[in-house]
Amino acid sequence: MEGSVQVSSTERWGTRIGLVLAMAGNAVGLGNFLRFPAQAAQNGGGSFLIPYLICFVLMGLPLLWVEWAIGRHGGQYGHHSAPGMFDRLGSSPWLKYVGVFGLFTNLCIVSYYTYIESWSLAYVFHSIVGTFREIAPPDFFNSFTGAGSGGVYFFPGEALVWFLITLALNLYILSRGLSRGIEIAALIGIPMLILFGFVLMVRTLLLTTDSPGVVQSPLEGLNFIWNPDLGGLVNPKTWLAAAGQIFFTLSVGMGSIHCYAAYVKREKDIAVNAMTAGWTNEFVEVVLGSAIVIPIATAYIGLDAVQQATAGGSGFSLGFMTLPTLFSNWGWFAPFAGALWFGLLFFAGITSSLAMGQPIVSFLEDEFDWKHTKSVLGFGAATLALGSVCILLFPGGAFDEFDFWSGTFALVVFALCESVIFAWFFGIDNAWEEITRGANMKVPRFFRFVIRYVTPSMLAVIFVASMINPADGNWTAAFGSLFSWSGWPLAPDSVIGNVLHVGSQDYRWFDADGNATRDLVIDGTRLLLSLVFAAIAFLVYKAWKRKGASA
Amino acid sequence: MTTAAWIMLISIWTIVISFTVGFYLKILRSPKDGDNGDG
Repeated sequence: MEGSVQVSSTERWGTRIGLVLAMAGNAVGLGNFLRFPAQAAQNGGGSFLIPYLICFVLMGLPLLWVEWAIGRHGGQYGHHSAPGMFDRLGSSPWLKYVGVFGLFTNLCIVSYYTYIESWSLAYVFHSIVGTFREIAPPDFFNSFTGAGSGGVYFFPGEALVWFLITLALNLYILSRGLSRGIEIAALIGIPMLILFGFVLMVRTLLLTTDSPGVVQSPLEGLNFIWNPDLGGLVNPKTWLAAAGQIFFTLSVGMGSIHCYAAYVKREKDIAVNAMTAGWTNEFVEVVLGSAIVIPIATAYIGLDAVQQATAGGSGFSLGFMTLPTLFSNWGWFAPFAGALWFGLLFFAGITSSLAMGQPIVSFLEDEFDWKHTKSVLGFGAATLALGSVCILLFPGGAFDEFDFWSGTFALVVFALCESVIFAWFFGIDNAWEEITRGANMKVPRFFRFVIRYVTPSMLAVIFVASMINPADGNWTAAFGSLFSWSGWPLAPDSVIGNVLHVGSQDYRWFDADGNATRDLVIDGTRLLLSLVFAAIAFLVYKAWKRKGASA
Repeated sequence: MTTAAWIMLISIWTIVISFTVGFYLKILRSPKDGDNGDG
């Protein structure tokens, strides 16, 4: 931690607005359009937004400041990835290994996220050429990904080609560097995304019950999201859902914000920049995200069908399987609407995947002195290897395992660790000085208390809740069961429930014919993810040993 | 849509849009804009 500040010779952001849009692009993802409206609708409607905004202020904004500050602080010492940044937050040698999460999450998430991103690109193409006029989108999706193959393995030829195209595009942009690659992508991508979203929103809200094919007013869909159920405010499930949505929508707990912020100069503002990027994400999520997918679907298939489709808290099936058919009601505008919708998702996706790639590239450059092109190719090779597992074993559940362990659990662990380390190990005085240095606003002193006590506590609650989440999210019934000595009813999607395969009928690795089962794929994927984590930790160990030898 | 839903929508959208626009204006009015890099 001690020592002179080194000014890194690496590149920097070209413009402040470019940095903010790149950070906003990192946060804005598919979840803004697909997860948020379903979560809001299923957790109290309009009253969900009250705990949602409270969690944004007490957990989201402080975490953004914490991550920007850790990043800019690490960048002063020439570290643009999490291990080096955490090493600089204290004198304990184990701190750098906390930073392993900041590489593990990015690498594993980008491996399956790029695949979803490639679906969006493929769907843009198929919307324009009119594929969905001939094939029902659910059938197309099943044959495209192999989801309906019945086995655990499938070779999806076309999907693989789109994945390779998308990965190549990501690598090309990363190879151009920060200001000429990522920044330009954000300067184009975010305005396009907002424009596409705005066009779709206006078109949707202009639908009336007299429009061809419309069975219900789209305003009924908006009502589904916004009508407040005040009883939800006293339900812990609503608060946990709101905190979870804020957490995942801001892309915190990943290491990508740290990386982008590491390229900001020591005396430059991070307080206003972080606010702007965070509020941009909220604008896209709360305004555009709530006004497209559910209102359109409600207009054409009715509210009952929409309620059913979003019951799991995700609008994925509406977005990829229902909307392409519904757009056909828009006549000549249908191919354009499909292209706008999936183009919007693609821009949301690529600006996020670039942010996940850069920390890996920076790690190889900073800690192993790799050239930029070699680092980008190294990242590409690792993404291709891990992505292939997700793609080929998609029907067996490998994709979902990647999403759960790297895209959900690891984020919460990393965010909890960083909030405690920053406020308590680095010290709140240092932390506050780091956040407020060069600030273009007066950061309310109230946040000093929040960063020290409230945010870590909220993250601890989310962490514990994710470990022991009860069946159906019914905490009242779970405590009732516990106090009547009937045990704790674990949900299958809780961390412990996942580890113990709760809800899995007839758990075994091979069926009676000796064929691999889904359980084998799931356990194999967990082993693979553990090995990836261990391999990254080993690379960190080697990098520091190498530095020690050369010092 | 119910009146309560309209109230929630309009009030939350107003909060979100105001903060978003406000912070962008703060950045665009900042004399340091365009100088986040080396040049």
